[in-house]
Formats: sequence, C-alpha cells, structure tokens
Amino acid sequence: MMLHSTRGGLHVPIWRRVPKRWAALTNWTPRLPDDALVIRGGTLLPSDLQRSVLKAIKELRRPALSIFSADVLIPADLVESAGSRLIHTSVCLSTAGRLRKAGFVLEQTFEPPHYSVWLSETNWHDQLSTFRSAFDVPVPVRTLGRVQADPGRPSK
Amino acid sequence: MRDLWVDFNDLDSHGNTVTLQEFAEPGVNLHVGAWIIVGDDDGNLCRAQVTSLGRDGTVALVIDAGSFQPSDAMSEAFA
Repeated sequence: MMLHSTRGGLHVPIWRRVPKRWAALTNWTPRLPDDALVIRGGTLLPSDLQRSVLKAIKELRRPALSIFSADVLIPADLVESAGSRLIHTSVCLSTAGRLRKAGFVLEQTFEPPHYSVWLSETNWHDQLSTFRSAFDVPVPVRTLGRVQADPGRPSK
Repeated sequence: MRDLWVDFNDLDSHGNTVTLQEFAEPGVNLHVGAWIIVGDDDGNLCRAQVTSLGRDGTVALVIDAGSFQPSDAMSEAFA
C-alpha cells in the first residue's frame, strides 16, 4: 500500500492528504497538525503586539493576533502561500504545536493561510510575552528556504 | 516618519487593512482619500490611502505594497 505521495517534490503522507480532499468537498477546515509551520512578520515587538490586540478587540470583539500557517514543513512554501499578504522582509517562525503548548488556540480566519491566535479576554496583556517566547528569533524572508522552525525550543 | 500605525500582518490579498484612528500620530488629519505613511514600531514604512473612517474608531486603508520600505535596523542586521 502506498503511504506517501509526491506533491510539488515533497513527500506528503496519505493521512495528511485525505483531510484536505474532504475539506475541499465540505468546506470543513482540518485542524492544523502540531508540526505545521507558523510565521508572523516583523520582530514581535511588545508595543506592536499590544496595538494589534487592541485593534482586534475593536474589529473582532476578541483579543487576537494574526499569523500565517499551513500544513507545510518548508518555510518557503508557507511564504509562497501567503503571497502578497506577507510584506515583511523579516519574520519569526514557530509551529502550531508550540503555540498550543503555550496555551493558545489557532483558528483559520479571513483568507488562508491567515490564522488568528485567540488570547484570553481577561489577561491578554500577560500572554504577550508567552506568545513571543513561542517563536524563534527573526530571520530574513530571503533565507527561509534554508531555515526550519524548531518544534520545541524557546526562542530566548 | 509615519502618520499612522498598522500591523502589516493583517493585509488581505488586495492590500486592504484596518487599524484604529487613535494610532495616528499627533496632528495627522485622517480623511477618506488621503495618502499617508503607515508603519509599525519595527520601523517598516509604506504608503497607504484611507478608504473609510468608521464611527467605531477604525480606519480602513489600502496599502501600496510597492512602496514598502523595511526598517533600516533590520536591513543592516541582515546585510
């Protein structure tokens, strides 16, 4: 039995392909696997994160931060998927599993691969440092083909 | 020098984004149709046009992605 297939030169296990086909038929969004890559543009300055949460509270009625994520293992694939929406020249990398382990919930919002990371309505201020520590240090976008997110190491 | 803070992670595929009027720098006059400089605290800057002002304090913009200028600090660090 064939357990792997090749898509764009990448080996994609069959158990990862079936949910995507089902999603295409039903509009169901599959849960990101823990090793799915996450990117957020910029350097995660606390002042930028705080303003972004304040904006989300006004716009979405919930505290949230934007990220890009997809069920890919190579950062360059995620950058390509984000297209013109990823304007930054430097980004911070993480994985869905690291953010979940830090206590966050990810939900696909707006156009994929955009996701919202939901924060606590009562203590989101305190969660900003936890959010930052779930990412690696910033790297230039142009090097992303050669960099892979560490699945479990804190950034600092 | 920026006129208004934005989060560049919130762009849609057409360059539209939303921020808050309260994040404008002092003295900046926001009005529909105005071309302004938006940026974040990293120092990234970009031209943008105001497309609407909400009564709830939001401001919608369309970013001119071609004018994006990354921060000097990041450019030097990665040179």
